[in-house]
Amino acid sequence: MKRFTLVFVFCLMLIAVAPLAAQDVTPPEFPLTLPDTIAEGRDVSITISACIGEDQEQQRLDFDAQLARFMEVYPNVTVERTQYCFSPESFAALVAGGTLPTVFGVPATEPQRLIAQGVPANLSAAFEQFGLNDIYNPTLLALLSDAEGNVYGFPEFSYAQGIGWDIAALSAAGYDAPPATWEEFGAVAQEVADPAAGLAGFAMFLSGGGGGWHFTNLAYGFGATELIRDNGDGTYTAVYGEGAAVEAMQFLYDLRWPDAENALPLDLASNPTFETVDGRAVMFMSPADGSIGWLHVNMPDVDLTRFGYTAMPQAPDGLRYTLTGGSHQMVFAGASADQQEAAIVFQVWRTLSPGEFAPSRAIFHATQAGAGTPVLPIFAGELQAAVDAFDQQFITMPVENYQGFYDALNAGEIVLVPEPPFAQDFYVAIAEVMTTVLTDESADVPALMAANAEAFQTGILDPAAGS
Amino acid sequence: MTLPLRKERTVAAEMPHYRSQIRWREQLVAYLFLLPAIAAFTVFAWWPILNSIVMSFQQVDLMDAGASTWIGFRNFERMFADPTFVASWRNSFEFAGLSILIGFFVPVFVSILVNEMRAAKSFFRIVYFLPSVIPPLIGILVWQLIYSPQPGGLLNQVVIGLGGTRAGWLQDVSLVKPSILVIMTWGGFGATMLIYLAALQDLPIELYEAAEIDGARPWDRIRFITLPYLRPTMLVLLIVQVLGIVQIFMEPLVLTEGGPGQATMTPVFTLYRKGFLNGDYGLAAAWSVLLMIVLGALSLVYLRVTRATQQ
Repeated sequence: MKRFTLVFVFCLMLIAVAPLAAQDVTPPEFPLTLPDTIAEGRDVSITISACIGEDQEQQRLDFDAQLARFMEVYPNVTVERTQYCFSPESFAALVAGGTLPTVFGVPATEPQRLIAQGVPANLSAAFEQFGLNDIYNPTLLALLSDAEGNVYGFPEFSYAQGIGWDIAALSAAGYDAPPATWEEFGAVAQEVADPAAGLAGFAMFLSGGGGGWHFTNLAYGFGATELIRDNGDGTYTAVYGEGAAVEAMQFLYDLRWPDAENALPLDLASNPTFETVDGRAVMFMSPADGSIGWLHVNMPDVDLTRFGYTAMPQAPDGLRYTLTGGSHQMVFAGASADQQEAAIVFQVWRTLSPGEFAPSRAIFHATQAGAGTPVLPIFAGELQAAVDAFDQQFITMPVENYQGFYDALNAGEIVLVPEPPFAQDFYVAIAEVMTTVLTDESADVPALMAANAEAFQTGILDPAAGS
Repeated sequence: MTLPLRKERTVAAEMPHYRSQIRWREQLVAYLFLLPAIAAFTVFAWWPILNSIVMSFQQVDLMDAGASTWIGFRNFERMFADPTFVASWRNSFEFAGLSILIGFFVPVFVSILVNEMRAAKSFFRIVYFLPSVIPPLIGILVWQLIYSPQPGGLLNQVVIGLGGTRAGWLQDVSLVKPSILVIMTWGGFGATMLIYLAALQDLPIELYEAAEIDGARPWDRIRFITLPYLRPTMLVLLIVQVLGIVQIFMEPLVLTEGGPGQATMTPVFTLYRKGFLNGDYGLAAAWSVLLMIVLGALSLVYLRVTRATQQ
């Protein structure tokens, strides 16, 4: 009995000490020097957008505590948190009204458009001053830069498209993971589908803007990494009417026909992740943060050990091309010079300074993407390895199921490709072809693609030339 | 019988005389009362409308409106050349046409039925009005479940149970418009029905009694008394319905994203995409100006019809 008590007490001590041990993990050290004063001591007020859920009270309090600590370090600066998540409807009004938060978050699809409109401030001088060019992943910085190489944003997190799957359903057919090439992938999708039971082999967005977005990834995967050519003189050429993009569309056609009992979801408007979670699809295309990461944060009751996640199948050259996504932080160009300075220092202090790195990561993992979500490196080289080591303490996701993604990432096979020019118009245009292909067995894919590209050229690209 | 008509004519003839007299001293208080409303309309309606017209001729600089550049009719040229232009307006007019076929007569029919009821009239009034009190977005999401193309989808289960085959209600180009119109009719006919019912309350009961004495059957009463009596109201509500249908937005946004293909792209949904997703505010403004012209024309028809029916 005495022995049992001793063991029990020892176990209790272990449990009590475990969190302390986890917190002892050393945050990575970033080579930077923060200024002693901001705006030469003049009073400055800035606002910071924070996209924290209504029910995440603790994260809000933690964020506010960070603001208070910042104001202690820089007493002439007043920082206020603004509850704002990017939405296209309100963003334009905030910009036009000059009331956009001084630091604001944007989805990774927006920076180039916003840079062209002059919304974010040029951060190049600050990046130089703090040595941030050596800290952040240069691939991501390129996506946040203009043609002259000026940087306009702080990378926050970034993802690539990938393939998730229902482990049990795929295992039942004898497969450990989705195949590595699109050709094999299509065959397996057809093999595992059970249309009579409403089970699709492969789910992706199939209609509307989402359909065009996912088709673009598919086309990239078939090697069509240039769908609309920027001629460099203000004109553009639609080149998706032939070649690999047509093959990608043919791939979809072949998954649907020769009869309507097919390998794709019956609901063209369905969400691929939910189709799989609800047992209506075996494999799905999605970015990790929008699928398993989102489920982890928003639907904690879903058993994530049911799902695997890997990189997109390989293109003919062995690489895995994908659109990127995620979110990044920018500073409003409409803010005064003092406000911009304070905003930049705040952002660097909050995300990279030794004392604030840990709480910032904790808030990030609780509000944006769960720790362990297969995302792309934000930091350069060894720094990312240190961040990954630090993040281990937060991980509660079954990361062993995502090894395929990390293997492809570490092998340098994942290649990020920006959205094509006129992306939103292209998504709508190509979705029309998708619908025809997926609802009409007699659809002539090459003819449809050629006609669509020609109509896009004369209807969208030519009239917009030079604008 | 002719006396009231003469009186109306007299009043109508005197209307211009009254309009031309603005007696500031006497009416000052009235104008002061109007001032808040005028100010609100100016800021929140008229100024944005004017600004939209200006923006439609500009390449818009969001950061500095003064830096926006004038580009003449370029935005309108781009709008007319855009393949979605024809698709959007064609869809709008198809929706309007279908709404007349599918949705217009439903409230007329139901209101006459309810009005003819001897008992439980209030119960049915409430039952039919209930969809109107459900928030539109919630209603749309519920219909999304009903229209699920899966074999287990509610409507498909019914169809399959009746010996039919599964259909893609929101996926099939030929089905998507009627499917959406059913949702709109379901959501809107309760309120319209109440207007018809209110109109029917004014229908003199003596007419029905006289018809019954003359041996008229129920259908004859509806055909020769009820429908002619409702005609002015029907005409006005028809135009109101077309005005609403042309502005369809929420259903494509939530249910179809304008698809399948471009089958449910509408002018409002397209201008939303051009403005808020593409950030092409000048082009979006051109779309809104055209929409405003079309809606203005329809509103003129509405006003004329309303005036004619009042007379």
